Amino acid sequence: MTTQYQILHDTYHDSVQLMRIASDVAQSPAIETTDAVMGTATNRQTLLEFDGLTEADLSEVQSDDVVLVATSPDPDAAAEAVEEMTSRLESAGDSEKQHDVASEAPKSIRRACKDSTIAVALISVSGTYAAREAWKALHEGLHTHVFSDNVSLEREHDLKTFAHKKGQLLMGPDCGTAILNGVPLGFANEVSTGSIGLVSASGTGLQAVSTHISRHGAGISQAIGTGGRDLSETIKGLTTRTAIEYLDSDETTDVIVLISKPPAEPAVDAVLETISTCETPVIIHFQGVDMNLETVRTADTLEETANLALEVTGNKSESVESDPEVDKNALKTEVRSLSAARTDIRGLFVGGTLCTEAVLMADKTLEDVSSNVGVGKRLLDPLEPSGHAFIDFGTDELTMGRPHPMIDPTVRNEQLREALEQQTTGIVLLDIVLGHGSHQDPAGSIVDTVATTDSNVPIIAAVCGTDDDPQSRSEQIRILRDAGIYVADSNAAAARLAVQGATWMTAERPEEGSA
Amino acid sequence: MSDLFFDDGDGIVNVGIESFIEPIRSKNVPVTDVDWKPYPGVDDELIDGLTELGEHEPKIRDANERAANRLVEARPIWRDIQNARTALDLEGMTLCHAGPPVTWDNMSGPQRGAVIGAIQYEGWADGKEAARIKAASGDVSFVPCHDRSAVGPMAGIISPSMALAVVENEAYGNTAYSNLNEGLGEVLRFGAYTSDVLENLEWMEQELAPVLKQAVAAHDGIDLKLLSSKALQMGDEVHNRNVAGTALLVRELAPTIATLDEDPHRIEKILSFIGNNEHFFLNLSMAACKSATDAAANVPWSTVLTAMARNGTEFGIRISGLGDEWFTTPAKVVDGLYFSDYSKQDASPDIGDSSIAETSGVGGFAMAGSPAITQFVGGHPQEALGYTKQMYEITITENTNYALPPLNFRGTPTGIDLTQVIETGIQPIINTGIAHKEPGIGQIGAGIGRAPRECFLTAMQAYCNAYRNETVPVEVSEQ
Repeated sequence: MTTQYQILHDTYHDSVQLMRIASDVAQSPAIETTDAVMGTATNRQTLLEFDGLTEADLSEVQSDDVVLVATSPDPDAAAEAVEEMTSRLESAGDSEKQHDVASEAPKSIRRACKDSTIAVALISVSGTYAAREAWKALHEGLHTHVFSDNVSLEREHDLKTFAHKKGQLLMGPDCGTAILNGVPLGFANEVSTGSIGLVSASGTGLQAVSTHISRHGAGISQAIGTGGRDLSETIKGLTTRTAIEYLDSDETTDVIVLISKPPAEPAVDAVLETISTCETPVIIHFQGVDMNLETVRTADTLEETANLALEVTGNKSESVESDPEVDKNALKTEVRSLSAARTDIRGLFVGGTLCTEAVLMADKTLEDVSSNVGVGKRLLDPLEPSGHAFIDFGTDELTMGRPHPMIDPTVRNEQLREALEQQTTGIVLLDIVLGHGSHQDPAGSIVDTVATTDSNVPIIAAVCGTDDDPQSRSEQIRILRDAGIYVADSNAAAARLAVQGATWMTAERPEEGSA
Repeated sequence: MSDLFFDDGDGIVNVGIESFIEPIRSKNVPVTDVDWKPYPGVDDELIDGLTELGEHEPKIRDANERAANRLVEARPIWRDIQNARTALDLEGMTLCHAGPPVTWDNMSGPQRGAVIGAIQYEGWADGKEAARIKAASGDVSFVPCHDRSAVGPMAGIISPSMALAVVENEAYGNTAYSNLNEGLGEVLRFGAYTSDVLENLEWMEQELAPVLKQAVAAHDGIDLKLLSSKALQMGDEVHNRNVAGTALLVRELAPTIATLDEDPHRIEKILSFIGNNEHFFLNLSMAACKSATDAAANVPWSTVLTAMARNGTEFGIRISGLGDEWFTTPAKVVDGLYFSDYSKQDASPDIGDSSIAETSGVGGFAMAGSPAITQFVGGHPQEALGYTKQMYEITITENTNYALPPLNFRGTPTGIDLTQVIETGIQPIINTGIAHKEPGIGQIGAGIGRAPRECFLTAMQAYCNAYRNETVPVEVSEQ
């Protein structure tokens, strides 16, 4: 017979609880007897009755220590029994904690992490508090997605420096979307799983590329948003670089696609340095940057970026069947029938990157192109546009105090009505962004708006999304086409078409006038 | 599913927009939605300060763990009875009082009454008018009990001749003190100063104290942690309910007292005095708590509270990482159950050092184990569970020595974190007696109150200012 024992110093437990634990553990057939007591003088005396327990063994025991004893013919079984009693005492109260989780929501990230195993934080509180909450999430070791905007660049730098050092992703601030391990965070689309990894300093850029890839039969391994300022001079791609390293280490990622709004040169250099050690092929689409790189493939538009990724991973890049070609002749006829004053393109966007892309394309061909997204000429008042004007309704100044236009299309729809009624508008160009969190029927709201006017101005649109999205892309396209709206396969295709339309207007009208 | 960023079964915590949850859950990934609210009353300057502290969070957490562990690991033993002049080093005409520092001019009714009583008791003036003049003259110095490692319930007036319980924290070697509980009814701590009150004090000093001193020595000290643990399992929360604690104490002391060579009538009177006063254990419990909070004080970077105290004029708190500095706000009248003939209009604003109980993790924080207490607010036992559960949101650790049976022996929430109070908007709960606002009338009720938020906001801003440049205030250093 062997006796094993354990002294837990400075621990008080109720005698009933101790007895209960001792008797539970004694149920095991391998165990002869057990005891669990507080180390009072009386109890110490009783403990001496155990074979092999001496006064010397108990010399350090005090009245506020717990003593756990088990005897068994098998020394290992006795030791196990003592261990079992110890762990039961230590876990007392645990089931109550679980009960709490079920009944009451935690009030802090910290409490949530104490109660369950958490890997990722999604923070969308007001920008005032977002940095503070992001710190808490980072210190819990979480990959952290900060959807909130209005966080200063300085705070973003502090957070990202820390996260970069720790190898944690800090996605944002102002990160609209991400897909981690197939899980949509924020405004994400339902896309297929595959081998293409995206890192994007642009929410709608990420959406456009991931949905295009998904529609053409391939899929996404990860889609990591970084926040629009990640490739700024201050941040120098801190999150982009961490993300590249993750994707490079990932066996399911066969190609890494980098997307960014117009980046700063030092950021590009820093990212290129990271890429130089990267074994996975990389495709870069940095808006407005002409890069001649030997080792890295680059693309000029989001559509081209997606097609290049499809090509590199051995997928076909032909248009899918649900996207019939736009009837260009019909558009040409419509454009020519407009009155001579109607010469302007009016681009009305909910996605900043989509807007930027359209401006960059238009600016190559047309004169007097202006926007509120920092490319082309600066549009002084986005709500009083003239010439070829492109407006992003998702900018900070236009979302101040109201929801993003992807959620609430009211402001854009008002501007759409005005554009259609304005005597100089020749073509309207729109983007429609689907996915979780977006308006449930953006196409319907556009069609309803158009119906309130008697305009014959042609409208060209592109729909960013998939058929698995809550709004269903093909259904949205059907609604638009039924109302006579031209729907192109991609934002770039729509922009190209609009530019072409504008050249038809300006090239042919003088002849008409002289005839 | 890929496991690049997390493993199967890991969850996502959502803070903010609720509509983001459903798409995540549809992928069979668990989501914990934080019940988040903007930090109440926090202005832009304080938000900036808190955000700047973000980077230092590991240092702060580490400091808080240390401070909170000191609360848990304290081993308070009642060792002795000593006279206050010696024990607290009270020179000349010095009186200790409950709460943060206060002047005679600003002193509340009950505290003034107790001062008038104590001045007569010490013989510094004859009669209540003379005592009042003496108190106002500037000859008498007033110091917070807290500054001398002591605590006193309600008015908390300790004068040099009074007998104090000496409690040693054997885990850290520090000592804390409290006066002895005078009983109920007309007593000094509620501002009464009649001749009966003074005679009772005299008896306590001359008769009770010497016997207790002998008994405690003969017993080789009384383990207050053990008594409190047991009392908590018997329905006390060792602040506003001390029925079990007092009974356990009598059970412990009576056999030893019986062996002393004393007049049986005197012994009978002493045992009856203790046994009939359900709050006798309170002062011992308070000294035990104080011995723990003093050990947790002065931990650099720690945001753990080391004092919450009231003087009927102001409510004050101290923060471990900010040393002895008090952060105060006007004390409020407590909502509670009033004895017949009295109402809220008669009540003194919150008063007493007894909130040291909550500061160290018992009292209101242990209410789950003391459902009877909820009667003071006409509440339901279920509410008692709710109060304790809520306090887990603002505390650093759980004291498993103080296991709560209704919460499946979960430990009491311990170590109030200033930052969590600020960010959750949850104010610490305090169980308390209510004194009449006029001196000499006594206790008129009891209730459950919340620590006022204003002094927490001031303290948080002071903390941000102090630690902004990663410098520890000079006076703060760990023992």
